[in-house]
Amino acid sequence: MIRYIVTRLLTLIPILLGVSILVFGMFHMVPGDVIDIMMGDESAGDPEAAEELRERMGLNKPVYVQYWRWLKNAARGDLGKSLTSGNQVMDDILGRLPVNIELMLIAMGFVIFLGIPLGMLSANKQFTFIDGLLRVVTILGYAIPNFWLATLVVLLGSLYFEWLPVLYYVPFSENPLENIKCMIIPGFVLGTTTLSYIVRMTRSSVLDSLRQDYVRTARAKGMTERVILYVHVLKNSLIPVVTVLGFQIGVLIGGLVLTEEVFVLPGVGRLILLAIEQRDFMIVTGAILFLAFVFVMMNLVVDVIYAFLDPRITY
Amino acid sequence: MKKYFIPFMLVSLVIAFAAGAILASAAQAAEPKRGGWMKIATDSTAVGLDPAIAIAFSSSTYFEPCYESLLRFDKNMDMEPSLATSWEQPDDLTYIFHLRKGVKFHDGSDFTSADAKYTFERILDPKTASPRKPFYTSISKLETPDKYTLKVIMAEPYPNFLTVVATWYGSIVSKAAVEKHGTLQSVVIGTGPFKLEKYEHGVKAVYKRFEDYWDAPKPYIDGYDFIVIKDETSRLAALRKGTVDVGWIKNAQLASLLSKRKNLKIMSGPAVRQQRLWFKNDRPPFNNVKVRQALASAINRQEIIDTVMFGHGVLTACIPTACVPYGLSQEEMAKLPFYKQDFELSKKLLKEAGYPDGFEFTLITSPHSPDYVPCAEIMQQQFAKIGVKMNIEAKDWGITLKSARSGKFEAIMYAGVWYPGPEAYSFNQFHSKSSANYYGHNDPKLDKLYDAQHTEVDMDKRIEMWRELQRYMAETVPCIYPYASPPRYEIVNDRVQNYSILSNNSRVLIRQAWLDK
Repeated sequence: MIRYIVTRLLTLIPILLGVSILVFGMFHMVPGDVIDIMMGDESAGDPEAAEELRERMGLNKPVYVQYWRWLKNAARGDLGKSLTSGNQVMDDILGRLPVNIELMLIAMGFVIFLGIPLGMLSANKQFTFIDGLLRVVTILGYAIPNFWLATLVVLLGSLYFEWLPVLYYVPFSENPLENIKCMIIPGFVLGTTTLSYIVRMTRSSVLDSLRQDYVRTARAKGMTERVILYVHVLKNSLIPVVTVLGFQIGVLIGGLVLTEEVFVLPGVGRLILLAIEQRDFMIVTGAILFLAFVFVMMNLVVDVIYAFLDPRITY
Repeated sequence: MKKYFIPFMLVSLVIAFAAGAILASAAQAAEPKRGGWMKIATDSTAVGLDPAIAIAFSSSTYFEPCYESLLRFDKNMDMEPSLATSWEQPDDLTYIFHLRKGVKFHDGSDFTSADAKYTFERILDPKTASPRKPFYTSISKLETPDKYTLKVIMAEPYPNFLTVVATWYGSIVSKAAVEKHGTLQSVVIGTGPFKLEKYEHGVKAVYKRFEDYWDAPKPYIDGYDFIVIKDETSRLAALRKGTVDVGWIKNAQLASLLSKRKNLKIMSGPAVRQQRLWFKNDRPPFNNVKVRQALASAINRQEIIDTVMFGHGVLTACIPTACVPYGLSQEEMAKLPFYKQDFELSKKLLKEAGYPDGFEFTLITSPHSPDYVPCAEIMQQQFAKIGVKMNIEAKDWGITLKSARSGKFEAIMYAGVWYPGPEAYSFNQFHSKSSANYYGHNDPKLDKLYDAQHTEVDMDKRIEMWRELQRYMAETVPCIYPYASPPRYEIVNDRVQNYSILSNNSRVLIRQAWLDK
C-alpha cells in the first residue's frame, strides 16, 4: 500500500510539468497581453510607452525564455507575482481557497448525506411513487446545467424571493452564521448535477446488491431488513459510488467558476476567469497547476478509500 | 351637494398630505446628512492604480475618488477650481495656476507647486513610459515661481489643455510618495475625498472618508465598498434587492426592466459612446474612397438604432452631438453626405470603383459589449442588398484589441468612450503621423484640417473648423459611425441623494452624495 501511494505521488511530477507547459504555451498563443488590457480601448494611448512597459516586465522575450524563468522559480515553490494585482500568486490563490473548500464541502455534503440516503430510499421503495418521483427529479437535476440554475436562483431571488440570502459573501471567521447562510444555496446549486447522478448510481448499485445471493441467505437466517441494508448492502454498494465520486470531483471543480461568478463569491474560479481576461498568465498557470495538484491528490484519496471498502483490492 | 361633500374632503385631504409630503421631502433634500456606508457595484477590475500608467477606464474608475486635478468638472461638465483656485492665460502659450493652500495628501504631507510640476514632468519623462504622454507633448516648460504657483509654458497653442487637465488625465501625485515607492501601481496617495483603505483584486475595494479633505464638510458618507460583480444579471439582481446602492447596466433593455422599480432611479449620460466601423484604408478594396462611401450609404442608421439599441441611440459624425459646442445637431447630421440609405447610389459608386458585382470581406468584432455583434448583423443584411458580403468574426476582447493595434484586419468594429475635447475622438486614429493610426489612413487634406484646429485658440474659429471637419469626414468616410449612445445606465437606489454620474462616466460626484437612511 505504501509503495502504491508513493508511486502515485511520484506521477505528480510529470503531470504537473505537462500541465504547466500546456497552459503556459496555450496562453501565449492567444493574442493580446496584459499591457493591451492596461491601455484599454483608448486608441489615444502611446504605443511606444506600451513597448517600454513590456520590456520592463520581460513580456517581449520569447515564450521558452519566459517559461524557463517561471519553471526555475516554480520548482522552488515560488509561483511568482501576479501581473495585475502585484501580489504573490500563491497568496492570491490561498486567500481565495477557503471559499472553494467551503463550496466543495457543502456540495459534497449534500451529495453524500442527501444523495446516498435518497438513492437507498429509492432502491428500497422501488416501483412506488417515491421512486418514480425521485427518478424524474434526478433526471432534471442531471440535465439542467448548474450555471443556468444559478442564474435562475439569483433572478428569482431578486424578483419574488427577496429573503433568499444570495449575492454577498461573509467569511466564516467574521460571522459563522451569516457565512453558512450565504454559502448554502451556492453550494447546493454547485452540487445538483453530482447529487442527481449519485442518487441514481446508489439506487442501481443497491438494487444490484439486494438481488445477490448473500442477501437472500441473510434474510433466510432471520436478519432484519435494516441490518441487511445498512450493514452489508450499503458497504458493497458504495464501491461503484466512490469510483464515480472521484470522477465527479473534477466536474465539481470545473463547475466552480460559473457558480462563483453568478453568486459573486470570491473564489479561485473567478480569479482564474479574471486572470484569463486580463492576460495575467502568472495567475492562470499557477492556479491551474494548483487545481491539477488538488485533482490528482483527491483521486489518490478516493482510490485509498476504495481499498478500505473492498478487501479484494490490494495495491 | 351633500353626496359630494365626503369625496371632496377626501380629495382635499389627499392633496394636503401630498403637498405636505412634497414640501417635507424638498426640505429634507436640502439638508445633507453625514454618515453612512454605501455599496457600489462595478464590472471592472483595475490593472494597476497609477494614474500615469494604468490609463484604461477599468483602472481609472478605481483611483479617481482618491486623486484630484488642478481643475474639475461640476455636474454640468463646466470647469471649476479644484487644486487650483484660479488660473489665467497672459498669452496663448502660457498658463498660470494659483494653487490652493492647506491641502493635504493622504499621508499627511502638504500639497505644493512642486508636486504639480512633478506630476506633469513624470508623465513626460520617457522613463515613466506613460501612455498619457501624447496629451502633454505641447508643454515646453514648467516653472514654480513660488510654493503655490505653477506656470506652464507651451511650445505651441494647445486649446484642449484645460479640458485634459480637468479629468483624471491630470491627477496630481505626491512627489515624495513616488520617490518613496517608485511606482504608484499598488499605492494610492492623493488629495481626493476618499482614501483607499483595502484593495482585493477582482473582488472589491474599500474607500474611507479622508478626514483632512480640503473641501469639508464633504464627503458626507463615511465611505463605500466598491464591489466587483461582472455578471450583468447578478448586478441587476443585486440592485433590485438593495444589496448594492449604485451600479451601472450596459444593456439598454436590462436597464429598462428596472424602471418599474419605485426605489431605483435610472440615470444616463449624454450619447458620447460612438460605435465605429473601421476599415484598412491602405489596401483594396477599402483604399478606394468610393467603396467606403458606397458602404456608408448602404446602411440605415435609424434601423440599427431602433433594433440594436431599442431606440436609445442618436446619429453621430466624427464627434457626437453631445461634444458641446462643436458637435453638429441631429438635423444637420441627417443631412451629411452618405447618411441617407440609398442603394442606387451605393451600387453606382461600387461600379465606378470597379466592383460592379460587389465583393467579400471579414469584419472582426467582439461580444464584449451587447450591441457589437447585433449591430454587425444588421449591417451585414444591409450590405448584402448591394452585393457586398460581410463575414463576421466575433472574438475575445483582448484579441480584438490586439488585432486593431497590430493592423491585422480588413474591417474592425467596437465602440469608443468619452474623450476630453473634439480632437481626441479621431485625431490619433486618422492623422497620418499618429502612432495610433492602425487603419493606414493617409489624407493630407485631413492632416491639414486637424493640425489647424489643434493650435487654434479662437473659439468661434474652432467651432467653424470642426463643422468643416465633420462634413469632410462624412464625405471621405475614413470610418463609418452607425450611431452614438449613452455609455451606460447608472442605477441609483433612492436612499442615495445628490448624486449623478458625469458624462465622462466619472463617479467623482460621490464626494457630494449623502445617504437618506
